[in-house]
Amino acid sequence: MNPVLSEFEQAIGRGLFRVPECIECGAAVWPPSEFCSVCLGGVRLGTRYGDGDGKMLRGRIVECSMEIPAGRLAGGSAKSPFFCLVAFECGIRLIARFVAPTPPAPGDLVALSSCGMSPNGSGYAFEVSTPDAPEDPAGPANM
Amino acid sequence: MGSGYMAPILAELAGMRPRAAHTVESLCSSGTNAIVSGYAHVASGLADVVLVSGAEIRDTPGRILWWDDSRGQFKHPVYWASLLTSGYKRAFGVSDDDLAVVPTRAYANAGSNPDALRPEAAPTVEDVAGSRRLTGDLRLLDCSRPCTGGASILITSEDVAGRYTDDPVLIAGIGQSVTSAGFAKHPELSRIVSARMACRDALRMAGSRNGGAGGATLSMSDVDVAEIHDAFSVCEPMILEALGMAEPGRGAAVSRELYETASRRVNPRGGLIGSGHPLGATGLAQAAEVARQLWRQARGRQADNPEVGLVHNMAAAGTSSTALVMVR
Repeated sequence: MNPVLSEFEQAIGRGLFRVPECIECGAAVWPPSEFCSVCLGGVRLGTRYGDGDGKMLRGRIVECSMEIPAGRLAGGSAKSPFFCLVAFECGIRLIARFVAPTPPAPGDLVALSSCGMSPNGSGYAFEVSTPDAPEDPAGPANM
Repeated sequence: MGSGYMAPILAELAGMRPRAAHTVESLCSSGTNAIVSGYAHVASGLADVVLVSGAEIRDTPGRILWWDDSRGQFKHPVYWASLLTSGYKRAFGVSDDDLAVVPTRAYANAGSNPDALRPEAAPTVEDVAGSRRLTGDLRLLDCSRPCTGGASILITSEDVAGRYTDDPVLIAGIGQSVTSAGFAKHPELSRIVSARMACRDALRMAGSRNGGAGGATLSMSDVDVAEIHDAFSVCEPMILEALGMAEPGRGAAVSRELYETASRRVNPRGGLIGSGHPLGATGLAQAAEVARQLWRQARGRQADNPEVGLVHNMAAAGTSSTALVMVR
């Protein structure tokens, strides 16, 4: 395993999401890789989210749906049936479980609320929820 | 098939000693990409005769793209299919009932295909609508089923085709397009861009070969029969739009027209939903069906006097597509 991926997975195993970004051009590199897909520059892990310092990785829901019943294909259950494709402000797009009292809708503002390794061995697992803090006046860009 | 060195193994098992044997893997479009490889061997002069075979076993692990970590824990294809379905329905005001005609027609067509993995009785629109919900946007009968299956075709140069048949089918056009590998980078969730690009290029190549010059092209109006990659119900209207058989947002309406007229122009053998989806064999089975159609040998499911056929085969949520234009 390349060192960037190894470091990324060590962090995500502790619930920390660190944005892989190009040392040369600054682009987010996702899924994490040793080289930038824009300029082939080297990659480092940048901003950390999830260590309790209040920083939030925000994004907007692109599309969403729901499992019936939740978690069925993973052979178990899940705390929410909703899953969605999210475009984060850092340029990363991924599918996450949506955990909130109300159903999600495309365009909704969300924040990454947890991450880790999937218990069923299918790789990373992400959860997003409605952010508690008011939206940044500048708003998520480039979605 | 998930086993290394498969092509030489197949050659040995079939008692053949070909000059070369190699395996092509590209998830659900492995079959058509293997055809492209065979075509390239013949076109370049590296080979005169190429046997292209695809096979799959029902419980293959190869139907999930584990590399794509942007899917998080939602790696099974039903998740991307649900998001595409949700996106398509929302963009164009399409309902689940509108999409139910796709599997209904697929199973009806598969009823006259002896090679199809089909139920004894074709489901009705009501059966589709009432089938078990997998997600908020997908029912069980909206899904093609992985299965065990195989298909082969023989590709030869025009010079030696006469050794094998008096009536060869010509691969007149090939188009391929890759927009990404990861689902999250899908350019638009209501369109399959790779399908549009691949089919456009295949039609353009066929048109120029057909005597046209200076960028002459065929259009879908020239295509009499098409095999398209309906892995899930929503794929059919999306691909009809990508091919230009329907205006953007009108794909579901065209699917309904195909259903109401019991058309054999699209997916006469039942498509992936009606026939089953043995991943490595699917593209080859599609091409074999178009050849049968062009030969007028598709008993019970024959399209009307086809002269030009098209195959569209895609992989990984439509992030890549391969298209073939075939003529008699």
